[in-house]
Amino acid sequence: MSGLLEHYDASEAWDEAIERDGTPRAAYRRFLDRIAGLDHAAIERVESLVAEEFRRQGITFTVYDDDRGTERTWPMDPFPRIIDAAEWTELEAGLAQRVSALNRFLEDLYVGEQAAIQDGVIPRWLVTSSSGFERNAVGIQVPHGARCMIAGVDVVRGDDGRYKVLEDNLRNPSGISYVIENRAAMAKAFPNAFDAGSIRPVDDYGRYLRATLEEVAPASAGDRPNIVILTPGVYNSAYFEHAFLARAMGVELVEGRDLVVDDQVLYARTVDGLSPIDVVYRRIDDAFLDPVSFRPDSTLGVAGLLSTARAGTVTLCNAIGNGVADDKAVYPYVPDLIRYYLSEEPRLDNVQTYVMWDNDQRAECLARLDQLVIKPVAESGGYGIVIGPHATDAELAEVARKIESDHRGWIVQEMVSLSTLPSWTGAEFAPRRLDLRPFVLTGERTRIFPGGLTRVAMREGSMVVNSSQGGGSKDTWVLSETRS
Amino acid sequence: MRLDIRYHMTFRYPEPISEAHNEIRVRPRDLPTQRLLDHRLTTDPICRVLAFTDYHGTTVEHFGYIGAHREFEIIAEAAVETRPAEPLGDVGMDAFTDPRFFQDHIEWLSPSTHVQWDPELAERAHNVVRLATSAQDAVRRMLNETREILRYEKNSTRIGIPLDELVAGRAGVCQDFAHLMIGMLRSVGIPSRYVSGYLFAADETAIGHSDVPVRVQTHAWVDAAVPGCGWMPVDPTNAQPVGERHVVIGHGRDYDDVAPVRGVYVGSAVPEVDSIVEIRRMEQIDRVMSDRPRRRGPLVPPPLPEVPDAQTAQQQQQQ
Repeated sequence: MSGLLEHYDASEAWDEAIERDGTPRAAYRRFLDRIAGLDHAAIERVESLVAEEFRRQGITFTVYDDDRGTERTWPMDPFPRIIDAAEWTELEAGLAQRVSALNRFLEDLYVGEQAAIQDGVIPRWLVTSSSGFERNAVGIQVPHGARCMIAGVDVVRGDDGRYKVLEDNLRNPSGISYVIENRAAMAKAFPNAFDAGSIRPVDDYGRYLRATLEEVAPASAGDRPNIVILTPGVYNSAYFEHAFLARAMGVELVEGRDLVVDDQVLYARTVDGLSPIDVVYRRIDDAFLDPVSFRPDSTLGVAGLLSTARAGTVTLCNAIGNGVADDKAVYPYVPDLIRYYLSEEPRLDNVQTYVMWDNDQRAECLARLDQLVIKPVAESGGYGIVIGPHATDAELAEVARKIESDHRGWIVQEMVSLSTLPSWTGAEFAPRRLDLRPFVLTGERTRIFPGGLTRVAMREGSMVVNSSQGGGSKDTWVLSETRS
Repeated sequence: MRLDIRYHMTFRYPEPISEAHNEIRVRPRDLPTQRLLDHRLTTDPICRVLAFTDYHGTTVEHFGYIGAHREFEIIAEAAVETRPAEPLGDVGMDAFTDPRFFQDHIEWLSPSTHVQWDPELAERAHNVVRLATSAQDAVRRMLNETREILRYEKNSTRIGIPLDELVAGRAGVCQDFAHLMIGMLRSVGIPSRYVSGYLFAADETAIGHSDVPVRVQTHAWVDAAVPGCGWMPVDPTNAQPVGERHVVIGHGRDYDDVAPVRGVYVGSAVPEVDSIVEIRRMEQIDRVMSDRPRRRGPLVPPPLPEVPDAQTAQQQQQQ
């Protein structure tokens, strides 16, 4: 290989673009050819055009640090992730299977017989002790049993080249707007490398989402359901995305105070009076949704909203109480839930996970914590995770003590050596670790959006890809045909 | 025993408010020890009521009213027939440590919103059960300990007071007796749940033998689990056996799961709330409705702020 990839070392992990012997993988060959002639200045130019594009559009994200939010411009690396058609088809099937089983599980827990518990697939205590198990959701029906209409499933690829699910995000997964903006920025800043004809487009997400939300509308809504996006407001870190999605779907973006419930029917206050609402894509956490049934001090929700969902006049997306199914302590049971509900073998692996309430597993893990990854079940966004090989003895001792005092509160996983992809360091392309968050939409049928959000750890050797922890992103291309 | 129960609540606002929503849990349950014969809910102004059974089996009635009003009235009436419970079995203390029993009862063993204990209270509770000879004996000892700590004092506390403050203040009402006892029971591994209901007695600190109609508030007591035998109801506020004069509305992890009224309203006026329960014993089928009693109660629902403020901004960031 030439130029900016001359010193590229693809041997430290599974590299997405380059085989260990230095041969480019098929999906990447055309892209590598196109950038072969580019020099340092050309890539720097692309970098600054991308940054400029995001700055101009005000596309930022917020890092919450000691309660103070700091706005940063969204970081995107110019070297895209490329997935060929056959590989994507396989990944899609695995994602659809997983989300389908998780929807069945939620349906079983909240409006079913809790058969998975009765049949011993998952222990009752694990469910009832989950902070995500929402008792207020019991008895609330959702059309087609689609309790999780919008899922973001984080997958990684280990040394064996197989995709594994790292976690399921079934409540309010964000990031889709960045997928679309990444593509737009890429097309603009890197037109020479961009291979529009062979890449599946991502700009029709609004249509995908709208079709899904229309499918889950209550029967009473008729052919043209009224849909709104309910945002916490401009101070929320994902407000940009909420506004973006409202625009993309052609629906109103509302806050709680714009809505009112009368006799278990939801209305939006408009200049022409009250207008009935059928579907609420809410980007507010369960606890803040309705001050009558949840936190009485919530200023973000709508009083009586839950009664509309219960009466079946409104569909809330996602449904209430999905947190029980993406509880990290429930995650080890997902492969069994797939076998149980679908009578199929899981197509996507879990990362090998140990539960700390099992005495044998706990003892084994505590003996070699320095080789493992320790995660608090109640946190998200990468907070609180201890990576054994990178932790000090004191940190390991501290987390061991916490595990001993709260077996339910932690899971321990085998270290996955995340796959790498060339990423621009400012001087050259070097391998950086990454994951992928595809978005799975479920209505009457399942739609998987091509690609997803690729996040990349911009620091050398780092495995932490969360944007809140210094991660960046990449445009993700799904090719419309397989290359060989 | 045939009892007629009339729950009457009135919100009066000094200025008109534009909107109010409530979720009430006041209807007696059907249980082996009590039969719900009849019930009726009336609101003024009239609302469409959505009734459903919640996760814990309690009937919830939800309603809201949109439009300017200065007064809102809720009348929930029920006719119930109660009978004494069958005697409950007893087992040794080691039954509590069975891992299967522990796992099956984990929701009744974990801390909850209003039941959070500190190591000091747990140690106190451990000292109480150390001498217990059986499961039921342990529960009874804990009942006595609760009464050692607290004395009954009307309006002495607010809903949701932390247990350590309760212990320091040494006084409370029925919710506090129940929360404290539940906290001590759970801290030593005895599953327990909060029971909301009505007590047919002249006052909640004693079981009266008079059969004259009484005017009271809703009452609260405790169910403790006896492994393999069932739930053992105990009333720490008066230390009398739970029997035909106790009418169950429902149970939960604490007050929050079975609060008789949860509600919000839109407006700045702070309402005056009258809340009264009238219970009378019926010898014949004909029901006699009483005059409307009036008494001031402690329940004031929080207002819904209309404009975003610093708190809103903070909540938006928490999402």
